[in-house]
Amino acid sequence: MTHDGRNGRPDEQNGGKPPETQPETLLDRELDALFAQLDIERAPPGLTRRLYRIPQDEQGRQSWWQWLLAPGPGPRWVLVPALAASLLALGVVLMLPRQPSQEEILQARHDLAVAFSYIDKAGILTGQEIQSVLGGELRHTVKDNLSKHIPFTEQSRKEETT
Amino acid sequence: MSRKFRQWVDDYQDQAWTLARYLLKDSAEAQDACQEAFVKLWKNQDRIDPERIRPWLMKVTRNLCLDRLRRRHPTQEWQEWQQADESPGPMQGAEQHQLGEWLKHSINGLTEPYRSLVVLRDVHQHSYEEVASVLELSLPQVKVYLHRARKQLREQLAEVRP
Repeated sequence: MTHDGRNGRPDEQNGGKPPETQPETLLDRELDALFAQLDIERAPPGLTRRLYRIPQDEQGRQSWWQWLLAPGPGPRWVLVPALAASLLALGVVLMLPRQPSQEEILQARHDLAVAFSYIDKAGILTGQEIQSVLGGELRHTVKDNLSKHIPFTEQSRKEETT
Repeated sequence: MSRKFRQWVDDYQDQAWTLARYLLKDSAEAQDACQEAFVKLWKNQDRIDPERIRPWLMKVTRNLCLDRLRRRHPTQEWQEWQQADESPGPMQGAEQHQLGEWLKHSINGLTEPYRSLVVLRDVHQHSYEEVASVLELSLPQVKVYLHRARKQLREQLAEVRP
């Protein structure tokens, strides 16, 4: 293989010397020989496996619209309005007001009564707790001497008695 | 369809792989770029002229590699990569196989589009027309650029020859 990107007559370019003895030509030949040694690298087996898998991977990834447009026994796009109508019907059914049955009403009442009883019980217990704490504290402050609650005066009183 | 694709994989994977390896210098990234290119081939197979599969695939592979390089080198690193790569040092007294390695290294040292040109034309032995189609250049441009690329390689070869 020789490179043919040069213009003009070789004799004029190379000062009258025959082209095959020119250093440029010799180097070009050597370069060609080196290029001939450079093999096209073989693709690694892992890559080959990946490339072989492409058709099945891509077929699996076909998007829904491609499926709709794909040729089949009938036009698949007619499924779109059918699907939309089904969804609309489902929505309408779900949005309609529904009358509960007698059993459901009774069950709800029972559940509500249980819930209220728990709330009442919790309220009573909380009230009792508040009453006991506040009542006790109030009783102490009324019954005991005020000076008992002041550490300094209590200490002086004890010293006096001893 | 899948069998035809498998045949394309067998025929062109090595060339796509070699080009990606030269451009990206990274095995994992080159594999990803090749896979991406073949996925595009699978998706566009109906739109591609069967006679033009190879140049189409090479062009897509190259563009994907360049995109990856731009992403890898977001700012100045990309410009530096475009301008010059590390050039090989002198290899006085090197053996022929070492010269082969030197040549690979020197090809990597070329800037774009010279690198792709040399790989496609001198390593893959594609026709000038095919190279012009892959690189979106005119035929005279391909010849001129290839002449420049080989001139660079010749000059480097002259320095390292025993």
